[in-house]
Amino acid sequence: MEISYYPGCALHGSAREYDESTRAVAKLLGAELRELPDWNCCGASSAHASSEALAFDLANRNLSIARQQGMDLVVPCAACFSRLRAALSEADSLKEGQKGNLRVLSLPDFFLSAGLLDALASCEKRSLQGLKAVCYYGCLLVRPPKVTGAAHHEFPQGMDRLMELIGVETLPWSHKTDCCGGSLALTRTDIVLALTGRLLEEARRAGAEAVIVACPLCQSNLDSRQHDIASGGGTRYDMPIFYFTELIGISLNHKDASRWLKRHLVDPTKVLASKGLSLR
Amino acid sequence: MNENGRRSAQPIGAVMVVGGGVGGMQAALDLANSGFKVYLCESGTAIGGRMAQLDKTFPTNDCSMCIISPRLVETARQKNILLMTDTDVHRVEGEAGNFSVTVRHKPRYIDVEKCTGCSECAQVCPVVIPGHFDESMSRQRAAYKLYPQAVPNAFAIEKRGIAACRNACPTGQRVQGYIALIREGRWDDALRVIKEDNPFPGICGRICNHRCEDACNRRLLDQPLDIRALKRFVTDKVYEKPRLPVTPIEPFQDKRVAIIGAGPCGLTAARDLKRAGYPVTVFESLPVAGGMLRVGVPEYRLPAEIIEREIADIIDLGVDLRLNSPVTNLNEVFGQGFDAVLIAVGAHEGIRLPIPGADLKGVFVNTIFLRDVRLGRAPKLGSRVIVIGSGDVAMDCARTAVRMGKEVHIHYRRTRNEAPADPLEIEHAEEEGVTFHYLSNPVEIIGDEKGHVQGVRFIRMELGEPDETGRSRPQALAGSEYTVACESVIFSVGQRAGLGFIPESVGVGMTRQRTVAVNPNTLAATRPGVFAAGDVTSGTAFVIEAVAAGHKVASSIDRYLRGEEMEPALKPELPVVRFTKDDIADRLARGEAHTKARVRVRTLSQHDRVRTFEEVSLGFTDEEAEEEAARCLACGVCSECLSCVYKCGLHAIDHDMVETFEDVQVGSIILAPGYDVYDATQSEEYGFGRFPNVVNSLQFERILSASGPTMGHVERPFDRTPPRKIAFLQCVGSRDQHHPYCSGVCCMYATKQAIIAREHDRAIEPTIFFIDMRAYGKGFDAYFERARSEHGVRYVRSMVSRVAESPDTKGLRISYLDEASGSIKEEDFDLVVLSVGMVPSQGSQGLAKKLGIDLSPDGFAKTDTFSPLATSKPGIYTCGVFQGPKDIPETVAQASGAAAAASEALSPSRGTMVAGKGYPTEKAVEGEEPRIGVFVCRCGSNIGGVVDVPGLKEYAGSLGNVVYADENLYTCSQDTQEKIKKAVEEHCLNRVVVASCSPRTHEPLFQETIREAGLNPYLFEMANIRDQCSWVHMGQKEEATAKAHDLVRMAVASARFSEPLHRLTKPVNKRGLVIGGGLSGMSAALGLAGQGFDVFLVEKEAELGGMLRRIYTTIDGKDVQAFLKGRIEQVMSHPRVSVLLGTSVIGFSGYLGNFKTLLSIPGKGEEELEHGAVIVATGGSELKPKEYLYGDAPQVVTQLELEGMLANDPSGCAALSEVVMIQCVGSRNEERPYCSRVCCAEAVKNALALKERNRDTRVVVLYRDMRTYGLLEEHYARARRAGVLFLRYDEKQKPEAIQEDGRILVSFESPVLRKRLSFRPDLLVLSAATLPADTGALAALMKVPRTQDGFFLEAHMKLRPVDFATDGIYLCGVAHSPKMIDECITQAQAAVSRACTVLSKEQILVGGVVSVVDKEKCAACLSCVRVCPYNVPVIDAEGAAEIEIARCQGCGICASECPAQAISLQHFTSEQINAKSRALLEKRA
Repeated sequence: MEISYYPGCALHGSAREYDESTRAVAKLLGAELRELPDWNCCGASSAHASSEALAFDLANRNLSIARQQGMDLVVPCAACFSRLRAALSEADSLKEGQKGNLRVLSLPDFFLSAGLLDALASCEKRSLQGLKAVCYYGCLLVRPPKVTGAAHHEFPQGMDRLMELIGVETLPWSHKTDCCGGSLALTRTDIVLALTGRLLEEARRAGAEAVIVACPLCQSNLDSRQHDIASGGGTRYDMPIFYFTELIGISLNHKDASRWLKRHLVDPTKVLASKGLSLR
Repeated sequence: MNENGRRSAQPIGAVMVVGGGVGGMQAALDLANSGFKVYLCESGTAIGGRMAQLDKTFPTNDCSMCIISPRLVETARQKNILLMTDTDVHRVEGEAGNFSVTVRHKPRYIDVEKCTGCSECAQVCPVVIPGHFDESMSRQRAAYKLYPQAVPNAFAIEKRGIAACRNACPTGQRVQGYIALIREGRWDDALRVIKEDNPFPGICGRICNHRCEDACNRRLLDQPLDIRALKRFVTDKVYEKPRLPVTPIEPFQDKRVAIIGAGPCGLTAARDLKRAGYPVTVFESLPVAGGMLRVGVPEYRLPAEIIEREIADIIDLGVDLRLNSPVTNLNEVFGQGFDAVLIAVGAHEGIRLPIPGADLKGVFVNTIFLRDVRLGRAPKLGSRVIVIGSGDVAMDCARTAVRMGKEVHIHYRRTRNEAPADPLEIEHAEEEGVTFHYLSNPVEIIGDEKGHVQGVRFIRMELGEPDETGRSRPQALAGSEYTVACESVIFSVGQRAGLGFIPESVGVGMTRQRTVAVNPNTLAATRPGVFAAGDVTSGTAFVIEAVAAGHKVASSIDRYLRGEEMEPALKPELPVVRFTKDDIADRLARGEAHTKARVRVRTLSQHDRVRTFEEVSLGFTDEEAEEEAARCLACGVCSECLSCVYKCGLHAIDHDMVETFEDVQVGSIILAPGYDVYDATQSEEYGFGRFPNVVNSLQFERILSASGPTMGHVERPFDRTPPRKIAFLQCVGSRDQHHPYCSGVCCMYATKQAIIAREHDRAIEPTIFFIDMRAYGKGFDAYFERARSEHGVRYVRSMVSRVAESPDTKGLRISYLDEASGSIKEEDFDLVVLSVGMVPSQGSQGLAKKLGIDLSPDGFAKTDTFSPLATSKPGIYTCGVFQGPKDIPETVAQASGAAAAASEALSPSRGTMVAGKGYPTEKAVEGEEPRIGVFVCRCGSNIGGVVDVPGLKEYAGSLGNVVYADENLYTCSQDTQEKIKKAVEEHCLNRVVVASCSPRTHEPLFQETIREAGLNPYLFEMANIRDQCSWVHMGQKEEATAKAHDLVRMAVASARFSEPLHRLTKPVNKRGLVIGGGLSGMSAALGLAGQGFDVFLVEKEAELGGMLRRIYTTIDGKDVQAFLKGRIEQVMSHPRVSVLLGTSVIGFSGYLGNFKTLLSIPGKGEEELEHGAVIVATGGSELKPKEYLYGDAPQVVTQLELEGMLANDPSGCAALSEVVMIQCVGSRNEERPYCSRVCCAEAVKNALALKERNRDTRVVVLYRDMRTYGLLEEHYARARRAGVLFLRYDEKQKPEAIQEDGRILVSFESPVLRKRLSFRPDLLVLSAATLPADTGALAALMKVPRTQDGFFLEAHMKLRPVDFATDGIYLCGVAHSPKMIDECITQAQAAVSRACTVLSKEQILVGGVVSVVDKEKCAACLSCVRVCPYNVPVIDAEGAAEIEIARCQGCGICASECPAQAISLQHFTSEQINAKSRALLEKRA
């Protein structure tokens, strides 16, 4: 099975472990990700905030390339996903009611599609039993529902289902779709610290030993701010923030797993070791 | 006349009302009371609807159940109402006046006619499900009555269908049933229900091939239940105890039956036939009974003790069992005079493969080998044994040989996958050391010189294409032969029946497969009187099939011997419950199922096994059985365990009921299907369904209710602790993207719930989060203000967007915008109540489709402003929430209105379908010595289980004047009524006392019974020894019995003094009077005239129309003036309407059916009218404001004035550049605390009109709360979309208007923007209050009450919205409270309906339980005049109190207050009360 793949800038930069783990586990589960040739910025950063037309055109160019490839498009970054989905519905409406047949999928939804889910369910894997975690979806992965098409935008469960399949105990918590402050990462760090601090606190209260995400901005925010929070006199959380693809990779005992995890600021290997999970 | 000019047939004088809620009941009662037959069709098991679930009602805080309960009873008793519960409309044909409705009666499984509501079925029902009435907050049984006061007072059984396990079982074992009983620890009951269909539970619990498990729906989740092991567990538990002797059955049939073969089939048939009364003889060739069970299955799988016990239970019924009696020739049996013969010899002949050496010494066949071992004559085996075949019998042979100390090899020509044996058996054989050789087929058995086996030659096989059995056909591999040494060979390749005893001459035909040829439906062989069943007809099969065949052939033989039709009648097909993966996923999601592997049955250790023949399987322990039973998904809900059937003394339960259809002819149809509460799980942001402490408002009603899950204690569902802080979130499922309407009731019910919660527990701090406080109804604003100021309810104006749960405390955090600080705040609560909106009921959507009526996009029935109760299809009307969201009184008014609308066209047929009832002449008992009969009820075990009923009966018989005493199982059952009548006759009883349950539900029934026996109904007394005795003193039998004695003694004492009361008839003047000629009055007059009654319409002005003359359009754009013109023409031209203009009422007297009204008519002077009913429709007017420069500046107008301008000067209005409207001018203030209700919609309407004239006109509406309730909300949204600015002002900082340079300057403080805004409008429009007409004088004349605000006060805020407390006087329209056009028309129709219940009668009955005055004693002190809530007593010309019996309600207040004891209430006389009291104080006998 082949599908077009739009990594976006983060996955080529700060979130390389998300890119690598995604490609690795997809391959193990029998899916070939074909990176979109000559892709450009999705417009999520400055374009989106400054020019409506530019925001659409940037995203739409990527969609046009995807259409030429003739395959559905999977987008691992939640911000890219949101921009591309928004452009897709706009493009579809421009065609006066004629919907195109290009589908743009978020990464969790791609893994939840029948083929991959079955492959994951039936393949040989290690159970991550004992690992207590909360799944954190953030804002753009599921909202607004008109753009994302999410059926449960207030209480998404897709990532939880995937994680349960590999034995993670996903805990109920009420903050799955709260904002992490990703878009204010550079401009208003005070707000970001407050928001991430709160998310980490709630995750801890829920009994989580880790937070699982599907967005490079959420990951970097939650991962990198822990130091600032602690040094600012706040709690030292030491809460590892996993990409869900990394955990699937660990469950499938992928050889590169330890390389991915090395890029994290909060060391995730300790909690894995405490569950008796060694990395190859 | 129809359009073809032919005269239509007379309409049918009957109406179908769909929905038994408060609306449906009201419509049905009004119709039935005005001469129409009503079919009241309710899809649930009881009427009462949502209102029955509510705790209290706003704004009076009346107990909901207390006020609806009498309605329920009245509906049940009304003889013209045919109550059809469990019924929905299937199809409708025909047209207005003549509909043919096909209704579908769903099976209830309990006969409503027979059921007395004693509750014993529920007491024994083992199935526990979430309680319907408590919205899943409590548990109920599958046999249930919806709620204690439910009408009909009958239980129902919830059953989805036949469970898949039962369906799969050849004998239909009630698997879910006995599993449910195991869960309850009721092992004897479980065994009883198993034995209902299977006499061999211990046997089948061990060796059945359990098709039930293959069918088990749980397999979709994880693994099927271990049903077989559970069955065995039951027998283990029961068989631990000593066996109780079986009572033999004496034969009561003279035909004799012979059964050949004492196997499971023959013995099952023997039991059934014995029970059917036949003498049965069983011939068995072996020295033991049990057939294959006894001699085919090894001891280690099936201990002989179990078989013997279960067989003994059959034989001891009186079966003549003849062991060692082989039948060698069937003819012998015929010679012995049997009338029927059953051949059930089984398949005991083993088969040898036709290969060389098959007859050598040391070669055995399976059946013989096993039999000989079992009978203690085991053959000698060599040390190495080869078993050929891999079926269950092969395993038995191999494992038996293992236990004889041999090395055993099994050879099978296919692979393990194809092996027919139970996988568990193969597993056990492997564990015990049997070696399996697959794909190996014998070709020759090699013997030694003595003719004894010394080895077997096999050939290797491979699997080929599938054969006809679906299994791969094994094919020999050429040249692969090999030889294996051994000393013994056991063939186990099949077995067949030995039928050599049936000579051809007897005329019993055979099939080619060497089985007896039978008719498969009857199992009759070709010779009459001969039957065959079991393996002899089917070939080798399993024990459960033999049992099934035994049952089948027994019933066939019974039919044959009775000379009945041999082919059994087809049984109705019952639905089978088969789950899908989605069903399972749903259950998982709802937390109703969890993955759990089956509990493994422990076995003897391998080591122990191979040495002895002890049973391998050890069965379940109690804990294991409980654990495994708990895995049952209870697919069918009702488990069909028959506990209820055994218990019910009235045979009211029938599990074989199926749905039936019935055609009903009616003239009109009223739809009152009600609503569902919004499913808040769809609003995932609030966590409903996930967070235990988030409940919906209906659940909170149940929490508040004294009869609810917490008995009225306010508790958190999670930990049952009292919550301190409760948050109510408004508009959940209302006013959102998917529900563009306001549900109209939530603001008030949340307010009520907050007040009541605090009444229950003062520590509670309620907070209501809301958008607009919509307290728009009569008395609502005052209620809201009291909640805020007196009851400590906190209101926060903020729409809450998320509820977060604290993982440890399960408390709930809410973030909201705090207006005072302008910032987001967070606050923790202990409990969150979601004020869920109303959605049209699911059933109503299908109903609308079937009926072809139009729905709005939101699913409400489409109706028109000017005919608000008519659906899009003529002859079909609607009321209640199906027409749009509304509260109880509006529903009730609509229901009455719909009754009037539905019956108007049918009025020529009034009275044609209702039947009066004839009674025998009443016996004169005056002066007779009391002869009292006492009937004591056991109420099943409800009373009988606590109170010593025989003793009580004896005691009652000993009391003075009691000449007869009896006891009954159920005194209210139909047959007992006949018993009572007979006793009255035979013992010349002249008083009757029933000691049973509550007079509230049952007194009318018994009164009716004694009336039918010729006694006056008031010669009846009741003692409540159930609700007030046995139920409350359940654990104190002696005390309860003593109390029951007291209660009966008191009832008897009172009965001695009861006297017959006779009701008088008074003629009814069939004319109506309507006071007020506005919209409501005209509509009422036309309605009465349309119903065929003459009407006087009195209007004080010189012309008709009232306030409607100043209204030009409706909010949805209809032309009001055209409508008004038409309506006036209709009134003026109607032959039955006499219009009296410029006329006022100056005198009023009389009573229901006979009123006299004195009028002052211009030009004519005074004139007195006589009429039977009055409708007051005096209307109201718009306030002339005293503020905001009204009257000082020409640019300041009222909304009605603006409406006139919009109609008459459209271009002037289009030229306006800015218009400001101010809401609540003169309303909701100290002078007028009420909301004028119409102004918000009026402002929205006019704002939209301004925008239509000129979209650039800036329109600003300054409001306090936008009260566009119900479906008006969408117009509010439309206005916002059109650009109208809605800005809120605070009541404490009202806007200010000043004149500046000839212009108006309006300024106000915006609490949202937190700054002062000002406008310079061209026009300032004031939404002025609606005032009631000046009716002080009229109210005094008519002696009817008004509210403090000057509106008339109805008899009851909820259930009698258009009645005055005085019978025969009704009200409607703005006279009642401010209203919209459609609401006025609805109320007018409602008042018509109410008046028709009087005018349609020829005469009224008065008297009975009424107060009477002894004028000699009366001192004219006026006490009675003052205390009577109905204003009935007056001081007459003689200076004594006079109580008009036609008006007296029988409440007795005057009698208790009268200082001179001049007044007494009949049937509750001082004599009776004193006698009762004295009896109570008498020494207990």
